[in-house]
Amino acid sequence: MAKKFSAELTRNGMVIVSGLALGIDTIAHQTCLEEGGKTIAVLGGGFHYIYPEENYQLAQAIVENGGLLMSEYSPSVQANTKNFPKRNQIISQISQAVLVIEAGIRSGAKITAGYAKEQNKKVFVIPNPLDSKNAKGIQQLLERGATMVFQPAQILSQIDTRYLVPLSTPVKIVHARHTKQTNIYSLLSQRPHTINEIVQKLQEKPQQILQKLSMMEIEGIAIKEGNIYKLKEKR
Amino acid sequence: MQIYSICGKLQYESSLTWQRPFRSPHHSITLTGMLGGGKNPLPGEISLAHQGVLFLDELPELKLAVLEGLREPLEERKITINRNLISVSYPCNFILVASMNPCPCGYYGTKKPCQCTQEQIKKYNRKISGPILDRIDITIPVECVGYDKLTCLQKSETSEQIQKRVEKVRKKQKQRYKELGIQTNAELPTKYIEQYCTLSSKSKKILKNAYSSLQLTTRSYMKILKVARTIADMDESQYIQEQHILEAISYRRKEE
Repeated sequence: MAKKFSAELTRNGMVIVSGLALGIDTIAHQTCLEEGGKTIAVLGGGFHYIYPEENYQLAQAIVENGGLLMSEYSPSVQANTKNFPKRNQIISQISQAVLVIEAGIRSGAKITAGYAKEQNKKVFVIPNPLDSKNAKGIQQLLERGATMVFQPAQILSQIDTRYLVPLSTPVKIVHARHTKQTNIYSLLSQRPHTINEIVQKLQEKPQQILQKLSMMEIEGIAIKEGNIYKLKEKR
Repeated sequence: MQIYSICGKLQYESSLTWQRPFRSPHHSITLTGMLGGGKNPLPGEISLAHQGVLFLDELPELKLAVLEGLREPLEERKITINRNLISVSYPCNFILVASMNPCPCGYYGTKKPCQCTQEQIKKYNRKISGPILDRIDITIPVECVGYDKLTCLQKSETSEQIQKRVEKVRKKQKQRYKELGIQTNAELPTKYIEQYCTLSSKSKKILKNAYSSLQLTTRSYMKILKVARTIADMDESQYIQEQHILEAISYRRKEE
């Protein structure tokens, strides 16, 4: 369902905001990108510690497609579950409305919905089976004023369409740090990596990765121990 | 073939072997077995691997004397054995291929947890001394084959395809060195390196920086140039460019 809603809303020019978490967030971001849309991911840590690790490439793709990564934290702060409620507050703050796909009793989605209510934003929910773990959560949200929808179109008819961004809007990258050394640097700032790990994560040709790593070694940015590369400690 | 004939290893009396030798002695081999010797000095594994490949699995498991004994053969491409007033020289121009684990338990740097202490890892790696590492042109880490890759139906380059590429480059090198009487970049004597391994100005700068910041030795400097020349050959490039030098540098391994 997340896919269906994300796709249809994106096609109509909606910018999808989510938290880059595994599961619904990932589906929302990915589908939006697949439809050629722009999406915003609000992070629970700094940019050097994309969490979860599996979504590092997704984060990159988001930026490359004209989207946005937002973080309240300085780049070297590690992602922490303590930061997530605050992150969810921001998600709600920058959004017109919140769509809850799944709402477990103690889920992040409920927290986001709670903030949305505080901020007088609309909260939409979709039907869930009565015996699912989400049933109670959905019920609570409805009692607190959420709106049940069955189609993406229903959301579109209830929000301010002035903020929709047509898909054809060209993307202008103003300050691109395109040197892939940045990406290798980001990986190594998280922790030392083997060559193969770097190749897998960045999905680049091994030769190119090796060339960049050699350059970093020569420049004194990175050091090589066996087949593990790590950042040189600054004195 | 003459070497094999001395050892009585020729299978048929008057046959000519057309295949290059592939020797893979067990790591418990003795110094004599490896370098040659015995009562009437016979060739060792290194000479039996002449013009072919010497494969040493589990390199750190070799006896220290045997490992260090490889220094001269790797450098000179021939070995002189002295025994009982007899002095015999055997050629040993082989390609050394060796394998080793990253640490005693084998899992350091992989997804599985490594059981070794830092000291154990250092001790294990120190068995391969600086001078030996310096004589090794290319070091490549190989990881465990993940289940996906093992069962993947997607085909990568076949051995035949790779062989074709290699043969093409060998032909090119043979042509290049016709006048010198050698066949490969590896055999190129030091005095000719500058002439045949032309660098672009950017590459010169990179290699210069690398020499100081990576504390290269003269030997490793020359070897990097030769490996870069081969990488450039495989890239069908006339000159050695920055990417070739950088790749060659990445294959070096320093002493721990």
